[in-house]
Amino acid sequence: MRRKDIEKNLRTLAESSSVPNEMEETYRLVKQIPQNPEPKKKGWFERWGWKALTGTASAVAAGFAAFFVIDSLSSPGTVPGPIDGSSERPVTTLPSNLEEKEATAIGKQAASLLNLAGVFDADANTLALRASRYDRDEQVSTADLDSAARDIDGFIDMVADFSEDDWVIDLVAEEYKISVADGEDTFEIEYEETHISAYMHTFSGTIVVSDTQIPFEGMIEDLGPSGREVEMSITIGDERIEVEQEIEQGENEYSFSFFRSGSSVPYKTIEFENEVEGIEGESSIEIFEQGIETECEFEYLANSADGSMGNRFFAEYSRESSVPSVNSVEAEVNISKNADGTHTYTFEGGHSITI
Amino acid sequence: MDRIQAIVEQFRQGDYSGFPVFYEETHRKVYYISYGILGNEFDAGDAMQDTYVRFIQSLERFKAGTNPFAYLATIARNLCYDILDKRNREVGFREEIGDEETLAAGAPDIDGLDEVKRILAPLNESEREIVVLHVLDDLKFREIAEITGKKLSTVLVTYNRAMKKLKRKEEDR
Repeated sequence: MRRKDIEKNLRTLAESSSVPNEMEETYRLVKQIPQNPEPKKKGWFERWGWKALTGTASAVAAGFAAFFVIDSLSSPGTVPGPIDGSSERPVTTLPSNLEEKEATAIGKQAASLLNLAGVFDADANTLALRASRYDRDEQVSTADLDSAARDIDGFIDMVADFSEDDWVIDLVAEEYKISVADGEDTFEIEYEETHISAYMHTFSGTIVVSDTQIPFEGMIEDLGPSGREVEMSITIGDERIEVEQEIEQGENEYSFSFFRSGSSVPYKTIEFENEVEGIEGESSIEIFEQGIETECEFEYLANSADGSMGNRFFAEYSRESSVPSVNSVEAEVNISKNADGTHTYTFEGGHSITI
Repeated sequence: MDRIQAIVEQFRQGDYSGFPVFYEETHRKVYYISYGILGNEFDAGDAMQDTYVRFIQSLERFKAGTNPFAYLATIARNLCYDILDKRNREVGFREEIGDEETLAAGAPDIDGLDEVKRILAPLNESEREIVVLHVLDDLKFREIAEITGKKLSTVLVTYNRAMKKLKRKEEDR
């Protein structure tokens, strides 16, 4: 049973239930609430004196605020830097507790994080974040459906990244070093791990992309037959991305939180869930960012045993926004992949766009 | 939502003429929260009345432009937990649900909310609350985080876990 079916069932049941309606009595009580008392007439000092004082106080506060902002920008991130210790790592054989699948999980997840951040799309000297694709300042089509199609196009990339096994992992035993290749892009990860128990270990290390060092740290908990949970945090400039991954019996869930300038409150979160069963695949993405909540659920037919996405998708898309300039959208979309790699989005009602 | 926000602005000016519309648009959702926490219709009904009165009394603290229902939900929740603190927590759902097997075997004409209770019974208090707020009250996860005082990531993870539990329970039936 899909999550959406459970939610729909709960809503239907609740709406069918009888709920007490005590409007009349409640209204009577509300009408008895005294309205706001008339404000006192202000004296001379209350009208002018406070303004003079607060103006000075504001100037002082702004000065302090500017100082703290500049200070935080020059001290980015809260994640520790590269591994402590000597610069020369001793050559050692791969310990038996570092199984290839664990290294693969770390490498794959780190690669996914960087892909999400747009590292592989960027110039060698520029780490442009893919997160900016969903920035409020981005120019989008004036047609809401076309805008939705572009959102979905980006989501398909994300779903494909997490669904397809196209990462090439070369595990180098000597120095806990993993090279991951995505087409022509490569990056290297160096890390060390600390065992907490037989089922849990933490790791911290550095991803190196084009001579840029990206520190990361995380934890893996092996749940046995139930699956695995992985947590990882990477820092790129003043952006920190945290991810939690839960793998369980064919289901793969990711939850991303994006932080900026050391803030403890994420400015953006992405929740991704992927499930492949036989030839059928189901994925859902939810993004929360700056007053805009976007949800997209995909159904697709996998065309290979490894669950690679096929050429036909169906998506249910919704974008709710408290931002006045961004309209809310709900749409059902059939998506077909064209031979040239583009996708054609056909909305209910017949409108279509190829991207 | 715009209509509700306009009505709330009228409330601020002391004009309560829009209250019947406001009540009709929101009372079911307030009831879901109250019933979910308190577990019986009598206490939930009383809590509903007090919720609306407190909402009007505390409007100066409501931030214009934000979701008025989220503020109303916060008041309802806090009020219900105050009531619940006077008796034991966790009494409502657990005692009221009765024997799960009996419920499953019985009553074809059971009220919809009783069935919701049965479905949500495998969840812990936190999971149940978040599911009610998101699914029945249509609140966004960010709003739920503010209402419950939890981190957004905690709310998301808790909701996901709740859904997985419910999925497994339904598949086992």
